[in-house]
Amino acid sequence: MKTVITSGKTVEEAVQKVVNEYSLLDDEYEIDVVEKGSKGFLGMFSKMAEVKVIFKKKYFERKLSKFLEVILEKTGGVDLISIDSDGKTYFVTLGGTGVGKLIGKHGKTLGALQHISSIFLNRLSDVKLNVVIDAGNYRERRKKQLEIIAKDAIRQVLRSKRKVTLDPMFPFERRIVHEIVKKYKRVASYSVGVEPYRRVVIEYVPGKTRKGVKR
Amino acid sequence: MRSLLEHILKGIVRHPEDVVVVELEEDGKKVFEIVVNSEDVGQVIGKDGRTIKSIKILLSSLTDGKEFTLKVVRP
Repeated sequence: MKTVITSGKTVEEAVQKVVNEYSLLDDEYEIDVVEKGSKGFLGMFSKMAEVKVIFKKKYFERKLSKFLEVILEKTGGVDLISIDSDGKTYFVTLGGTGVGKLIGKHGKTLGALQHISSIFLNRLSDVKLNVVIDAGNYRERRKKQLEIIAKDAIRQVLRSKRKVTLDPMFPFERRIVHEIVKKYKRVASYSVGVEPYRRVVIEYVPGKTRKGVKR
Repeated sequence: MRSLLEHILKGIVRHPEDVVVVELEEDGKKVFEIVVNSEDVGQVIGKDGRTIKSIKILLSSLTDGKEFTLKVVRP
């Protein structure tokens, strides 16, 4: 998230400075007073007020949705359905008749939009935030599809005792496959090739139990 | 499309006020010349060109296959 420390003659003035600079709305920040400040005596011994302004997740959600809305306006047929956050991860859900175009081949465009959004959000934040964008349930469907692909391949490896090389996949897709393979005995997986053509290889390992490789 | 490109760039750079996009034709192909603060050049291109590629992919999906080139030029 983000915290800005600032000072001013009074607490109100210090807070207002930050609110104006970042155009914060009333419910988007919290204040932590570090030093109340005092006028002193006849202009002597006066102390500046110091406050911490803590940005809440509502601020980031609003900024992100504004940023995306301008992009979606040009896409046409895609609506921003919701933005939620859980800790440091922001989930964006898109829908509408135009999502197909926005997902792109193998989710390429969706991945691009997610990458750009993630940079945008991290530009506003002090700590690393993640953005996950899903359109028309694409990610969920793709995950199920990958499970089927992985399980088919594992079955084939176990039957033939040979290795199987899958089609090129995105890093997060390969991760899903690796996770599935880990759950099975006598198979192991690794990736070969260079992005964007990196592929998962599943191979037969006779002595492997679920806990690790024993040869 | 130029305004959308500007919107995206301004969202990801540290100095939005320095973003300039020039649209021009080169050998009949559309070219967008991007000028950003020298501090932001790396951010706009990204690791292995991932960010600039992402921008290109996103814009391509909105232009119905019309070809164009993105160029990041040093100010």
